[in-house]
Amino acid sequence: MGKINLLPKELTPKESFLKLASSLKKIVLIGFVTLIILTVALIGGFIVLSNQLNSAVESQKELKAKINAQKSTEQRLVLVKDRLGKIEHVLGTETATDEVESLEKLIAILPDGATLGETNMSPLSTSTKVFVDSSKTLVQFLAILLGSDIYSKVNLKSLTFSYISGYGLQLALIN
Amino acid sequence: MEILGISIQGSVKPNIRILAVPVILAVVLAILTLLIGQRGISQIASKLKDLQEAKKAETGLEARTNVLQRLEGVVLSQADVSRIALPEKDPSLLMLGQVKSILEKHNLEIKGIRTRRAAKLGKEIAVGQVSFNVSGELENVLEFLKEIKTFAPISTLEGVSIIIEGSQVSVNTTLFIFWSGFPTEIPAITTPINELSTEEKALLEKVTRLTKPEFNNLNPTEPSNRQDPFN
Repeated sequence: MGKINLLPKELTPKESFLKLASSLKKIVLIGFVTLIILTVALIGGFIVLSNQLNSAVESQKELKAKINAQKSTEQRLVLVKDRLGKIEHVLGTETATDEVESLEKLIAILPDGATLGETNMSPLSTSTKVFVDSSKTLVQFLAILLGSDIYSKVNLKSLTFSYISGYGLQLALIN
Repeated sequence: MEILGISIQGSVKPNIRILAVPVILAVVLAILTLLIGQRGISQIASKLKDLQEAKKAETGLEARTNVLQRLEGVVLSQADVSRIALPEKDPSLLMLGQVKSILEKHNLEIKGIRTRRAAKLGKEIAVGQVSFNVSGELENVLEFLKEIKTFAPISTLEGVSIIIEGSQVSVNTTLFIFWSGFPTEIPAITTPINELSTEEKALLEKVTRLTKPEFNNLNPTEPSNRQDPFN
């Protein structure tokens, strides 16, 4: 049996509106379904992330407890690093140890007839007096000293002569 | 008047009625989508950010624990070596003990000893000056002066004055000695901790080779009755 529409034509919506309403209903239905899926996905994601966060926080707590138990090791490591930093600073300062080693080399090259006199050493420089018994020894000593690479700079401050001690050289030496 | 090719003149009411429900539902859907989307995504983003930070902190803490576990066995001796080389307090007495032992080794005689404070090195390193007079053979004196740098606590040779008296020499020596207070704070638990660098290890190796002072332990003895009260 066919459908009978008793409504007057003016009260019946147009076919195009009926189609539009039907399409809109379908779109809204799909939209709601999508929204529900999206909401479930968001809630699920939120729960998963919350669980992961909680487990990370728990793990952090355990690690912090472990670190606290190793506090003495950490304190010692901090102490070692602190000491080493400061030791490096100290060892970077000037010292006269190199001057001592250079003086030892100077003594080793002194020719016969040359003797060392009063010597003062400070970081980076040495002031020394050398006595030589003859002009020949004086020339020999200066030739050896200047030919060696013990000192980068040799300054002859004074040269004296006496019949008793011979020639006296006051030298300023720089490594 | 036509909208989208549909005439609404004369038939507004039934057409609107038929469209009203889906339009209202569409509006509700749009509002819900907007609210849930905005709030949900911001919550997820916030959780993700928290999780990333927590994971980063966890990785840092894990690395810190691993470093500490690796160092547990060795750091005690390293700490001892380094604090003997650069003590917390004025090491004048330790230094004099060291100087005396080396002088004895080289058959040298010590005469006057003087210690005093010097200007600080930087902000944290205190400096002391130890001066002493030594006499003996020149060769031995030079050996002694060279050996100073090989013993702990660390020192630097500030000045040497050699006076030659016949076969003997008299040497006035000035050393700088150093000390510094221990660190009072350890880095925050979240900051990364590093093992010793290659340079630090090399320096530690050098410091380990320094001759350490000898510490004598005096064992306690029980009180006893003196037979002679005046002795």
